[in-house]
Amino acid sequence: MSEKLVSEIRQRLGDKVVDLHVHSPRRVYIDVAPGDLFATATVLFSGMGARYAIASGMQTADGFEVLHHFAFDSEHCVVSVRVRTESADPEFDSIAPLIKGAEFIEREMHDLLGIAFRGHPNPERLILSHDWPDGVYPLRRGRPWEGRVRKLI
Amino acid sequence: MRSIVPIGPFHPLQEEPELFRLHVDGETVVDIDVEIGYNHRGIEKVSEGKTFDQVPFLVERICGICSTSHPIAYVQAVEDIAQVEVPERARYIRTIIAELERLHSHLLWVGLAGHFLGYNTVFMWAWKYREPVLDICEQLTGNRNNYAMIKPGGVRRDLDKDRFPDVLACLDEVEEKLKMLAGAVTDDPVLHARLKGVGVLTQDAAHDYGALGPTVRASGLPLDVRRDDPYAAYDLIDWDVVSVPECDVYGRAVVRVLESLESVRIIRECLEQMPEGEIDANLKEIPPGEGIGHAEAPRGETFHYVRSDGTNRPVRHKARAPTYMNLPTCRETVVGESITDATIILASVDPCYSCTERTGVYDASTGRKRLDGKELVRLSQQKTERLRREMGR
Repeated sequence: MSEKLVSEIRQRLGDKVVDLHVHSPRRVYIDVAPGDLFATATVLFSGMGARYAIASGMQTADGFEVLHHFAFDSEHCVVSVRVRTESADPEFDSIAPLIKGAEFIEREMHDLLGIAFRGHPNPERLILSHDWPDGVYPLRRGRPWEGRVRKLI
Repeated sequence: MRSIVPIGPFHPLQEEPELFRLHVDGETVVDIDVEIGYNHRGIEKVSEGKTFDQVPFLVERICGICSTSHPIAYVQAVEDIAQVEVPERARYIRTIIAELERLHSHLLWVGLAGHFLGYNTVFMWAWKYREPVLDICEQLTGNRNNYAMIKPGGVRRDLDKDRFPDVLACLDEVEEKLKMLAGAVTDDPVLHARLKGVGVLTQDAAHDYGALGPTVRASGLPLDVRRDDPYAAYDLIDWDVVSVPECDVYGRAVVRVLESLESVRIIRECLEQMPEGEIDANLKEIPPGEGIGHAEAPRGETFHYVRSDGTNRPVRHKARAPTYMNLPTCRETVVGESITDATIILASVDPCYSCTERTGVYDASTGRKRLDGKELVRLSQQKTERLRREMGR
């Protein structure tokens, strides 16, 4: 169960934990400052042997956030590390130099949401075509969509 | 002599578009690039416009083979938000459908693997044995694939008990054939020569890339969401995680064949133990919050993240298919091998491109949309008409 895991994570991460929310016995969310993301990922992935599952980015009402999901399979728990920014040009540290499995998803988040990842080993487009217009991010909100507004008769 | 052999993005031997660039020195692969994105369908964006109840139909269409793994992972994410208990009978039904899917998906892979090796007898046999499994799926759910059984809080339809004897009889027959296939894989010297020591993925590399499913279980890491984060009825029945220490393509083949036998065992137990009762928790409202659901698809863990703001639609829905994590491992497994073996190594993760990516047509020079949905339908109808005329009907 997650109590033992949560106390170990708290102890190892120390004051990097801004907020820790136990959603259910098998789901834990940790908020960290963007500057502590790489160190946090190092502790969970290399130190505690967590499996990197995936990341999910989104645009929120006041900025952007990225959740990196780490699976602790033997403890039956998924621990998600959240970083937030209020910047209109979001940028976070890349964890791909540490975790090869994060390379694709960081490139994808850049394509679809326009989130940049500092230090990514290969910051090329992944999903979008090479001739897709620059600065158009399909998953961002408030993007004017051509032909989206239909005329009522 | 160094050269580049491009496979794809559109290639007569590929069922789906994807680009692999093999940098070769003579016959040895010295580097590989993968380019994806040729099949992106924007499903995560579409999902934001669907209600929580409609999304399972959408995500069921992410993959044409493991069509039930995505809905299961998605509804678990929604159930995680709402913290709802799924009725036991519904959990059993989910397990049965998921295992039937694993069975036919693994048989499909065994056939394709045979084909890639030039061993077309295996291809013919495996696909022949897959048919009765699809028949069972049709008997139980009404469809060979895309079963539309899963909904948040339970399942849509009950299973008809009168059909169980036929299903069990068919499973007996399939099991016998699977045992024969297992024997063929473990005994055949030709398969050993082609598969053993080929495409090695070490445990450390598997962890670095976050490899999943049979790919990681063949590298000696017994990771399986069905046991590690039990869902459906997997914690109520007796079954084993199959894992071998081989780390090569042979290991991946063995894991899939043995796992299929486990699937038969799981389905049998479920059909025998399934209790009577409700099949739906009648989930009415999804509160604001976030949830994670994952399920063990035939190719590995399918991961869904859903965020709700309290309305009837998700504000964010992330879907990650197992191939997304498994495909990049080709940098470890293909480099250093002969170009002849590249096909079976790439196939050994059982890649599913459509799942990995989820079209509008834009004009590259102006950045404007050139074709919309209506236009694409019109083009498709025109083509059908033209073909009909040419064929004289």
